[in-house]
Amino acid sequence: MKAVKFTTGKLITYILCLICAIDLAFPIESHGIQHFVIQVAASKTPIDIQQFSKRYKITDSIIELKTADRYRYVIGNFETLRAADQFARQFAIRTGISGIFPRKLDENLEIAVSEQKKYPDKQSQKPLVIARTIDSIPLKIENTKINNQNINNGKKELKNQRNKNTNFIFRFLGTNNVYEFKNDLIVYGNKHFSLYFRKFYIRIIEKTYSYPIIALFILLIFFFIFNVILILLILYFTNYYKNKRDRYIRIYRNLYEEVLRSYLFDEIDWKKTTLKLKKIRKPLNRKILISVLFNFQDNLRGEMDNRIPEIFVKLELNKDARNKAKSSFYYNQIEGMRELTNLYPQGAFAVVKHFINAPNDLVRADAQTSYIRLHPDKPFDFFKTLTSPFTRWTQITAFYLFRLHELQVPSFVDYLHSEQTNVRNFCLRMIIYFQQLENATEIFKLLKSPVETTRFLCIKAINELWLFDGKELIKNIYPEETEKNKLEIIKALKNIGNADDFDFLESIIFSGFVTLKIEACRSLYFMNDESRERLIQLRQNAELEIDKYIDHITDSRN
Amino acid sequence: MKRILVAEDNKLILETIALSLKREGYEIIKALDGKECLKILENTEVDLLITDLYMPCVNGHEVISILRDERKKNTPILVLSAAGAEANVLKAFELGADDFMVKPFSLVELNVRVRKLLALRIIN
Repeated sequence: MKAVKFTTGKLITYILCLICAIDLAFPIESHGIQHFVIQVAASKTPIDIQQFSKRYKITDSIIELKTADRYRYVIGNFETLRAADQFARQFAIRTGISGIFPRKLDENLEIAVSEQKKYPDKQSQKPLVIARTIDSIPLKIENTKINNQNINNGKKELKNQRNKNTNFIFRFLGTNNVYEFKNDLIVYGNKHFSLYFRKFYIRIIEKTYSYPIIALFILLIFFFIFNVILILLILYFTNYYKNKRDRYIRIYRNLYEEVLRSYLFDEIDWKKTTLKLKKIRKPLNRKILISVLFNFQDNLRGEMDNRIPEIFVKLELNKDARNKAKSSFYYNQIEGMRELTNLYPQGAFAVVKHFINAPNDLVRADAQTSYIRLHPDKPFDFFKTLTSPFTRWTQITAFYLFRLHELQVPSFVDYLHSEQTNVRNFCLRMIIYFQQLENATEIFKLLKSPVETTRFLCIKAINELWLFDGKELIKNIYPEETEKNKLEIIKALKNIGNADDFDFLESIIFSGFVTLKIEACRSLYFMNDESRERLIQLRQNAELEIDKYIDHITDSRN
Repeated sequence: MKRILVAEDNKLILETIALSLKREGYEIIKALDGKECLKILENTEVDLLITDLYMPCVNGHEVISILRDERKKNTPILVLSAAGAEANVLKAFELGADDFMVKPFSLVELNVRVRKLLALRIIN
């Protein structure tokens, strides 16, 4: 069963849905609202807000309020008179507009600040449990609602006050801190956000402060519990479907094994077999069938070698495998190729050949190993057409397959002209491993290769296969060689060297690096008796410290 | 009727071997792991044991060694395993196995080897 992925996108969507759900479930209550704005202009006739903003370089959004006698233009959204007043002063200095002042707005009515002056400071500093957004301010205000609204406001104020006193969180955090933080958030929003986003932002803040904080905590707890339940449900259903699927697979595997075994032992004919093989058109059942056939193929040989491919073809599973191999997904290509190689080799040749130079490393590696299995007589003939790298991992797999199936060893010299460096290197390693002495001249040619590893393997081959003809060649390239290859050349002389090489090795002892000197001493010491004599003679030269080198190379630990 | 105990954790192979040997006229007892195999061997007399090397609970090497340490020293043991490396084969023979077959194997060959092991037991 596929695992359920929980991406960041889903998380954001989920949170947004939750906010919307809260919005729907708890619409803003209309009681107990106190709201301050700054009146920047008023007129009996409407004015062009855009022009006005442009003229005084006002970046804040201006809202038009239509009252009984005139149009009033206000900005901002403040919870306290102090904050509104402070902003109004700054605004007047910034824009140069005179006569601006803060106003207080109630739900359906605007009341001039001057009317509220009876209890100015205390009232303004009281925490607002419930607030409103600018966009919800009614445009048309009727004076008839004044008295009722004032009474309602008084009641709600008392209720809010009671709520405040009973809410231990407020007492714990300090009401001033909580509301100062809220004001800071609103001021920040007014300054930094566009009108469109500001509406949403302020709405969220106001909504948050509209409910007792304890309600938010409860909501959070419910949200957490809901998530835990959701995860448990997901786990339960995932497990349930997995078990169900496993049970299904087990049942059908047993059924298919039994039926196919009966067929393989000639207890039932093919007609009866097809009747007993239930639901074989379903993709999952076909997968089960293939795995059963794989199991037979992996464990049984002899008479079963032909019977299993026969069943594979009769059930038209080869078509499925071909379709998989045609898929654009690399894992399907590999799966299809493996099925064909193991269960229907006749149908696999073309597919495998097609993927020999596949750009995907995994597909190519699988195609190459499949080729080796399908062509036991010439397992490495694909080297001739190989234009893509023959990776180290494939080399190891190929070698393992080669040994496991005891395939006929080809002459690797034939592939030394491959375009691919890694093919040439692999062939050189195989030549060394299988001690293939024929066509040594082809190996010598590779001493001119620009690739250091190839030259190294050539020198190694000359050394390990005792190719005396190559001695002069490696001595000639010695001055231009890298440290690693120089070391290998000196090592080679231990096996293929003679009296002619004494001077060459001596020159290294006199002028080479320490590692090269040690190796040259070793070659002279172990080449033959004559060379050992020569080395011992060099002991007379105290500067060379030959004794130390001899001690080192004759120490069994080195 | 000769009684053969087959211990193999791959059910498909276990059933296939059992069916193949049944057709040859043997009585087959099946065990899906080493523990079950030892339990059967404690209570039942068998003429031949065919065992895998890698099984759950108790592996094939342990089964062979326990069987050889106990009184049933003459019961022939045929090891059937995919682990055909030289070390595994030698270890199995050292512990007392009589024959070794590497998977994938031929059922015909298995039947011949079983017949031969049972015949040798009679001679011994």
